[in-house]
Amino acid sequence: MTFLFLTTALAVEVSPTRLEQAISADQPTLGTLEISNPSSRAARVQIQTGPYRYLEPKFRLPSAEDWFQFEPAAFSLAPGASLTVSYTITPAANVRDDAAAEYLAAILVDQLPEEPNVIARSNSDEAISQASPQNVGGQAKVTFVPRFAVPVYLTLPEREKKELELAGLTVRVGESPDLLRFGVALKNTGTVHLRPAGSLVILSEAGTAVESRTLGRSLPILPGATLELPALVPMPGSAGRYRAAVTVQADEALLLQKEIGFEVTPEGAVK
Amino acid sequence: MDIKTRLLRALGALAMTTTFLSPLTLDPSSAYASVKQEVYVSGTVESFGGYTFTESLTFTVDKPGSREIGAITMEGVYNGEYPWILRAYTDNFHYTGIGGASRPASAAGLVSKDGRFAIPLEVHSPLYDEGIWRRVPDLSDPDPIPYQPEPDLRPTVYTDCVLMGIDPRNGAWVAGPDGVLFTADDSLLGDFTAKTPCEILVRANADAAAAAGEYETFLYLEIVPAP
Repeated sequence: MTFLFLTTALAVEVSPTRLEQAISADQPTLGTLEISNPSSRAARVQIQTGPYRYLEPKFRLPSAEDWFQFEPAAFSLAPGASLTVSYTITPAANVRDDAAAEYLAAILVDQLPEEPNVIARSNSDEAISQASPQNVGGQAKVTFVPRFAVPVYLTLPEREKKELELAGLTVRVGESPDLLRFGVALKNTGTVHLRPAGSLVILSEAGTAVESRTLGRSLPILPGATLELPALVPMPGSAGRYRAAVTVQADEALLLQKEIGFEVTPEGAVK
Repeated sequence: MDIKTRLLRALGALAMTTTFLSPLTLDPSSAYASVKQEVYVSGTVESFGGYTFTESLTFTVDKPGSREIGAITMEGVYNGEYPWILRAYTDNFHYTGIGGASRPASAAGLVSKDGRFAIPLEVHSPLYDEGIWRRVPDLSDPDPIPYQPEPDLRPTVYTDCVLMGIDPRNGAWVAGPDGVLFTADDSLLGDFTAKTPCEILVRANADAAAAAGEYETFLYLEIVPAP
């Protein structure tokens, strides 16, 4: 093993770490990012866009990957310095006639090395033509580039429909016989992503609250996607009939509720 | 401690997730997978920095075969909203391959200056079991399978090279070192991170067909934050 040199690259910081922005199909939308260098060394930064991360395989939503222009898109930051980067979002011409209300992308913030590789920085013909079969030295170089991928959600307000279906509520014995496992299935039937929050209450046959749990805030459910929120709750202390009621809120005006009845047998089974 | 007591304790911990400040110093003994109801839930913490990495490795390719070429030293901490992952990949758009080759080769790894040859890279994260190396993919690889958490302990299938992360939806990460859910070493947050500084080992696998020459690549170490 041969190390010729090792230095330390210091990751820059980005704010915001998520971009959710309303845009217009007819005119550019402006915004800013704040890039800071908390380290004691100067940092070279490059900003570009890429595909949205975290998509399930074969799940496709319209992309805004090519709509961004950054000013500046490449720059150096002195130790301790910050810079406000302006961006302009210009939707493609066909967006005016498109039906989609939400477009996704990622802003990629790279910290480049001080001395970049010759060929890895460009896919231009010029770079490739630098290759030389006589250039036999057996040397290899791996340059590490810290990258932060800011998720981007751009919405067209006039097409925005926030609709959520509480598609199912199920209960069964959990991974341990001491637990009940609930499944709350949510389907986004609207046109923009939602981040619903919810709670679950278990009531005795007499209507007394036995247990209550928050479901927390969900990760974004993209248009057309279904997500099941699992919830584990201690098995009620005695056999009998119970009801479980779930409440889910995805927006101020979007409140959903569902209730199921179930029975815990003396043997600990759930019917 | 019975399962119900553990659940109630863990639910108490759940209420603290919005102010949780240091996943890297999480004491595993106070975290339990019994809060799997948290599985699809995200929490918010204040980000106060990021990981830092070794800038580059330069080494000599002098014979075919698999060999360790060095280590990426990681320092600092990323403490953003979860779930998040740190993954590695290359983006070798200058790779052309060999014209007329009977099967397409992957651009993943180090690429020769003429763009025709590639030397695959593998990495070993301190979170991996001993002897486990993951292939570093290239963004141009056909049919990539993005990281997806698997709540239960079924085998996960993805082509992403995940080095570390925090994801309470990932049953294997929640299960902790023993790989079994509902045991004392479970991690409440699905904390799949190592205390820093730590090293990620890098291995190159030059086969006999790799021509002598100069090879380079950018190895991207990408934090994919909470969506």
